Amino acid sequence: MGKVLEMMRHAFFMMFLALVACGGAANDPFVSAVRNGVARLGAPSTPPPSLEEQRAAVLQDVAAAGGTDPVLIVELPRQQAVASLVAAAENQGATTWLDANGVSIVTRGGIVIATRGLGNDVMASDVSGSRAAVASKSAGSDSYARTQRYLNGEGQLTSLNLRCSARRTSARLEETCTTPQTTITNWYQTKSGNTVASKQWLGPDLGYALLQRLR
Amino acid sequence: MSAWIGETATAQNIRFSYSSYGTPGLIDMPTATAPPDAELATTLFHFQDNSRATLSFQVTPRLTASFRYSLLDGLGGVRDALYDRSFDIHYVLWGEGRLRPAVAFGLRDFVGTGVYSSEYIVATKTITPRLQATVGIGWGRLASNGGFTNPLGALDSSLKSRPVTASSSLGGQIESTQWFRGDAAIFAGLAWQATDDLQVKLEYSSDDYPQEEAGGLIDRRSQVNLALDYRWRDGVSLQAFYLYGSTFGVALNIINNPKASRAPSGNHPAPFPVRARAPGAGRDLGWVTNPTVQRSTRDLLMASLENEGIAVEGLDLQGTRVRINIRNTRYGFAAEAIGRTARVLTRVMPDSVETFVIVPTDLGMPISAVTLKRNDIERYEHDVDGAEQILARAEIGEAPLRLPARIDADLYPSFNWSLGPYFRVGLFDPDFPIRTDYGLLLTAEWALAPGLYATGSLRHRLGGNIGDDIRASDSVLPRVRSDAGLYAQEGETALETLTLAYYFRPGQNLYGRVTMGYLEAQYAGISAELLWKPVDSRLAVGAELNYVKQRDFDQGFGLRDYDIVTGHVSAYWELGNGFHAQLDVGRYLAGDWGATVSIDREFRNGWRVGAYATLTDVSFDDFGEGSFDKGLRFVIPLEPLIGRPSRQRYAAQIQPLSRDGGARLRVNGRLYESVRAFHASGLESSWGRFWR
Repeated sequence: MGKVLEMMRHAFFMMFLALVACGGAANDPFVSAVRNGVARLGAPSTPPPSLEEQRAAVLQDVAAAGGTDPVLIVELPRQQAVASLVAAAENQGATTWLDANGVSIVTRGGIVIATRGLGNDVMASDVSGSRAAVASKSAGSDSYARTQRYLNGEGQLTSLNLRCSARRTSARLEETCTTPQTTITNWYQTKSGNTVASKQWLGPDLGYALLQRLR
Repeated sequence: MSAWIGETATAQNIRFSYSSYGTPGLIDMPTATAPPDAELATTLFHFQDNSRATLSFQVTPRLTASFRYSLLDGLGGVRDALYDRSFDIHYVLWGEGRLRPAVAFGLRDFVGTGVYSSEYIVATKTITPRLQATVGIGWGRLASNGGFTNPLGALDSSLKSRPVTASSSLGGQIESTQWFRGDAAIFAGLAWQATDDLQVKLEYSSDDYPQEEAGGLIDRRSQVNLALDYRWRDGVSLQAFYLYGSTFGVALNIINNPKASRAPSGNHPAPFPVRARAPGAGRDLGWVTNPTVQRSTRDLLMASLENEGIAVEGLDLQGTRVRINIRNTRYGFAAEAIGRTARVLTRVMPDSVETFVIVPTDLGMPISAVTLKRNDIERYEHDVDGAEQILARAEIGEAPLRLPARIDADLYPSFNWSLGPYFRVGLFDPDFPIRTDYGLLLTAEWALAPGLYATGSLRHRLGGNIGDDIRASDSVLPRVRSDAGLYAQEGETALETLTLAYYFRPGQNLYGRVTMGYLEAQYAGISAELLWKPVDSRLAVGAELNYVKQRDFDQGFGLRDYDIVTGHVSAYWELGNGFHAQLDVGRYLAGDWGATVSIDREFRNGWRVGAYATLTDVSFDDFGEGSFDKGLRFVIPLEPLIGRPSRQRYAAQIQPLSRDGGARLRVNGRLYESVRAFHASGLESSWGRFWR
C-alpha cells in the first residue's frame, strides 16, 4: 500500500510540474492536457446549450452580421453542434464553406462531398448518382452507387461503397442507401434548382448533418 | 471507430481470450487461436505469491510474440524471490475449416532461465457458435503432469529424453537442444461464451507446477482449472481464476491496437481551399520585373504558411516556376505538410507560376523535392480519387543541394527554450521492479544557421528512487553502462547534454552529421555520421564514428579516465508489408566487436513495435546474466492518440538486462529517421493526408 501512495504522490507532483511548465514545454501535449483538466475543474458546470438554443444564437449572429453573401447553417446532432459557414472558394463546380473555428464543408450541387476539422472526416466522395437524382424531376430512380472515403486508423484512404435509390415526395427527394452494416436515409429539399435544406449522412462516426442554406 | 469499413462481417461469437501467461489460451494451457493482427496486449496475472506481467504482440496474423517478467516469491534468488524474464512465440499453422480444427504450435520461455520452458502443438475447434474445444500435447513443463514417452521418439529415439542444460544459470540462450524432447502429456479444455461480455473457460492442465510446489508456493489438489473472462470495456478485460483445486487468481488484460486511432483525420483546422485561376490568366508575366509585387507575394506566402505551422527556409521564384524549401513544425505526416503548402501556393503565387517544387527540409538539410503541377492541384482538389491522382502526377526526387535565397530573416539565428517536467522509469531491478525519477527539465536550442545547432539540456531531480540502494556493478568488462545507478544517484542536478551539431549534404544521396560536446548523460566527445540514402531507395547505408570519454557520475563538466573509439556501419532495409530491418556492425562501448540485428513492424500512422539483439565477442560468461543484450522497442506517435497534429513521438525501450557488453552510444539526431520521413516511401505511406 505504501508503494501505491508513493506512486500517487509522484503522479500529483508531475501534474503540479505540468502546471508551472513554461517556454516551449507549454505546447507539450501532456502539459496542456493537465492544464485543460485543471481549467475544467475550476469552471462552473453549466450544461451545454441545446441544439435549439445554439441554432437560435447562430441565426441571430448571421442576421446581425447582415450582408448578402451565401450562408450555410450546419447542425450536427451527434456532436451537439451548430455552426454557420460562408462560401470561401469555388473550384470544379464545388463550393468550400468555412466556419470561424476551422471546420470546412465542401458541397457540390448542395450535396456534401468532403468535410475537414470534424475528426473522422469525409475525405472525398463520388456523389454523381445522387446529384442526378436530385436534379431529375422524376418520381424515383434506379439504384445507383455512391462512394464516401475516410482515413482509417492507419491513416490510409478507405472507401465506403453505398448502394442508393431515390424517391421523390411532394416536398423533397429521399435517398436511401445501404452499406454492408447499415441503412441510411438522406433528404434534399430544392427550390428553383438549388438545394436549400437537407439531411445528409456524413459517416459511421459523424452521423447525420442537417444543412440549411440562408441567402 | 471506422475499422469495419472494407471488412466483411464475420460471425465471431467466441471472443479471443488471453491465458494466465498473457498468450492465446485458456488458463495455463494454450489454444490454437490468435488475437487480431497487430494487437498489443499487456496482461497482469497474480495468484498467491506468483505474478506475471506479459506483453504480447501479434507480429503477423499468425505469429504471436510475448515477453514476460515474473516474480515467483519463495523460489530463491534475491530476497528469496525469483525474478524471471521469458520470451514466447506462438504460431497458428492453419485456421479453422468447416470440419478441420485450427492448429498451432508454440515455444514458452525459449530464451530465459527456463522456469516455464515448454513446447506444445494444439488444436482448437468451434463446436457451436458459443463453444470452443481445445486439445493439445505438451513437452517440458507442459508434460510435468501425466507425462508419457514422447511419441516423437518414433522419429528419433534421442527425442525421448530432455537434456538438462548447463547454461541455465545465466539464461538468455536459445535452448533449442531441449525443444519437443522428453516426456509428452495431453491437455484439453473448453471455452464457452456465456454472454457477449462473459466467457467461461475450463481446462485440464498438464502442468503440475513442480518448482512452485516444491517451494511451497502452491498446494495442488486437482488439474482442473476454471476461469471467468469479463470484458469490462473495449480494450480492458478482467479475469478471475480458480486454480488447481486450492487457490484463486486474477488477471487484467489491457489491449491496444496500433492500427486504431482515436480520430484518424484529426480535429485540427481545415486547410486553405485551392484558388482556381481564371482560364487564360497565366499569361501575364509583368510581375516578374515588379519588386513591389514580388515583395508582397513573399510576405503573404510567409504569413499564410506560418498560419499552417510551416516555416519558409528559402524561396526561388521564377516566372513560371517556384521552388520553396519548407520546414514542417506541426504535422506528424509529411504528406499533409506538402499538401497544405501546395494549396497556399495556389492562393499566393502569381497566375503565371505553373510548377511548384516543394522541398521539405529537416535539420537544415533539403531532403527531397516534390514537383507538382498547379493545374493538377486545381483539377483534383475535389475528386473522389484526388489523392491518388496527385500522387500519380507528382515527381518525388532528389532535392537540389544548393539552397535558395532565404527570405525569412527571423529563422536564423533563433533561440528556443522550454522548462517542463520529466519522468523516467527504471524497470526490472529485483529490489524494486519499477523505479521512477521525476523533476524539472530545462532545454534550450540555438539555431545558428541552417544545419548548425547549439543545444543543451539540464535536469534537476526533485524526487524518485532510481538512484536509491543501487547494487554495485559486478561486471568484469569496462563499466560502460552498468554504473547507470551511480549516474542516477549522483546526478541530482545534471547537465544531460550540451552539444554543437552540424548537419549537411556532402553530395547527391548523402547526408552528414558532426556532433560534439556532452553527447549524453554518460559520455562526452565527438560523433560523426554519414548516410547514403537515395530518395526512392528501400535500402540505406550509414557509418558512424565516435571518440568518447566517460563522464563523471555527477554529470557536470568533468570526465573520467575511460575513453574509447566506437562506431558502426549500418544497413537499413525496408522489407515491405511494414517490416523494417537494421543491421549494425562495429565496435561497442566496452571495446567489444559485434553486430546488432533489429526488426521492427512499422504502422503507417507512425506506431512501431520491434525487437533487437546484439552479439559481440564478449563471452556469455563475461556478459553475465542474460548472456547477451536484447530488448524490445516501441515508437508511439502522438498525433493518432490526441487527434491533433503533432510531430512528437515517444520512443521507449524495454531492455530486460542492461549490462556492459554490446552497449552503444546514445547520441541525438542520428540521420536515418529524419531523412526517410520525407523520402518516397515515407511520403507515399501518408499520402492519403495530402488533401487533409
